[in-house]
Amino acid sequence: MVSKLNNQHIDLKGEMAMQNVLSLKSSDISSILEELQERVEQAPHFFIDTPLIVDCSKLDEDQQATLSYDGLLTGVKALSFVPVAVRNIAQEFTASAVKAGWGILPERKLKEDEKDNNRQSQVADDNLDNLPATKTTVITYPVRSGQQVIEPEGDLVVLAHSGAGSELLAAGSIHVYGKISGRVIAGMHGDTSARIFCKDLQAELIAIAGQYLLLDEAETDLAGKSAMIYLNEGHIYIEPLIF
Amino acid sequence: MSKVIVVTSGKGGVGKTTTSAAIATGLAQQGFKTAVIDFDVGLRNLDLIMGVERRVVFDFVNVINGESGLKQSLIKDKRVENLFILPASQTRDKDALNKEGVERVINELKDEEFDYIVCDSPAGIEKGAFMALYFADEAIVVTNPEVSSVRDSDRILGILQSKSKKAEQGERVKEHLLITRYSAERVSDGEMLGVEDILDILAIPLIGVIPESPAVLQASNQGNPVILDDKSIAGQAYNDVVKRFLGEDIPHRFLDEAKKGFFKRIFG
Repeated sequence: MVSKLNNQHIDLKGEMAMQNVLSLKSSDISSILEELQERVEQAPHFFIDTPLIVDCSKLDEDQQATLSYDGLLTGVKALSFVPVAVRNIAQEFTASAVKAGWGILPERKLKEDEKDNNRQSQVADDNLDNLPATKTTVITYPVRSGQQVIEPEGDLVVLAHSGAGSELLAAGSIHVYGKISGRVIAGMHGDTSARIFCKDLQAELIAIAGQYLLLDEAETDLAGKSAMIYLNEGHIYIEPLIF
Repeated sequence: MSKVIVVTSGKGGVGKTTTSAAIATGLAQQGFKTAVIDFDVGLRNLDLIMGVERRVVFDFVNVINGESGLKQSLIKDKRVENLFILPASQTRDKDALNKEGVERVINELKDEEFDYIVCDSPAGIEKGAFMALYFADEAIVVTNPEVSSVRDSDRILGILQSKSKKAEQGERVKEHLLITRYSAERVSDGEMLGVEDILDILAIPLIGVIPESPAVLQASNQGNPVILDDKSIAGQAYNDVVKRFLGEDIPHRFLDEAKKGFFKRIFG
């Protein structure tokens, strides 16, 4: 008889992780997959083999009944996602979802959500000592034309605008909460995981780890909007800063 | 406590000297002992605009080099009490300026209990402009409603907050934006940047908008600071600027197109 859990080979823990959640607004499978494909084509490498959770909270019972869980699974697999689970579906439809190969996630309620967050921050606090120390420089005044702000060790946060002809450089990521009009160079020592986050993208030039892009030549409709810029397999991607 | 004010812009021809003359005169009119120094060594203009060209004996460079005393070099204005002009040398260049010398002159003016020391900066971002702004407590950045002028002002604001003495001590120079040669008519025609566009780019407090006015050129040619011409809209606008600088809360005027009759009444 095993009265006590004997965890020599495994640890099984409940843990919150960042996941891509596909929130459905209709049960029309072909339109869903079509729209999803468009999103994937904007950043093809970003979604390869990423786990996907499907949220049905915006579907009414009729739509949940007519949704083809089988077709959805095949469809997202074809788009290189790894289908994981559906959540927020009514009890009577879980069987057909499981039969199609989906897992079922418990319903998310706001209260439980908050509890989870609290638990998460507790865990994070315990692990603080193990985190590598990175430096962050916070600039609270506008960066003017001709000025250069460099953070050679860590991240750079600018809580104002940067003027045309200015330069922001950082070893890590760069966040700008005003308009950026100058040059922005993240990952200046070659860190390809560095990213640029901004509220109003008007930059002349953006660069990450040596890859650069003139915004005038970039095919983006995000000029003047909030955006995240990152590097994937040597290419710069500009995406809306909406999650 | 004396205050050092630099009038600067980066770009040339936007109205720095006109503004220096007007503001120094305005401050003196309000009863403050004021000196205005021309930092544009080699291209002196301030004495012309102040109408004291023929009274220059010694200049700023003479004082820096110890060739003349401060008191004998300052030209006392004949129109306004408490106003003194320190002209630039026309025969030298900017290399004649050095930090120690400029600091000594400014400190001497402070010892003489001047309330305001107005430094009229040359255009550009080289030595002359740098010397003019280095000791500043406050800066009046003069901008015309056009893109290159605004860009240059942005540049000079950057230098101000990184290379000035205040910046070196971890403090900030207080910034004021003055828009000159503003024509509401041309703004609404889309030929000029509007006040909002300029504020959006520079993001510093606006101290005033001086409308384009033939009175400015007329005043310069006559050697009369335009602020003394209280019938002209430019003179009135400069008066407002001085009052705002001294802390009064005055609404901005001359931002909208004036009715034709109004111009006619004044210049017709």
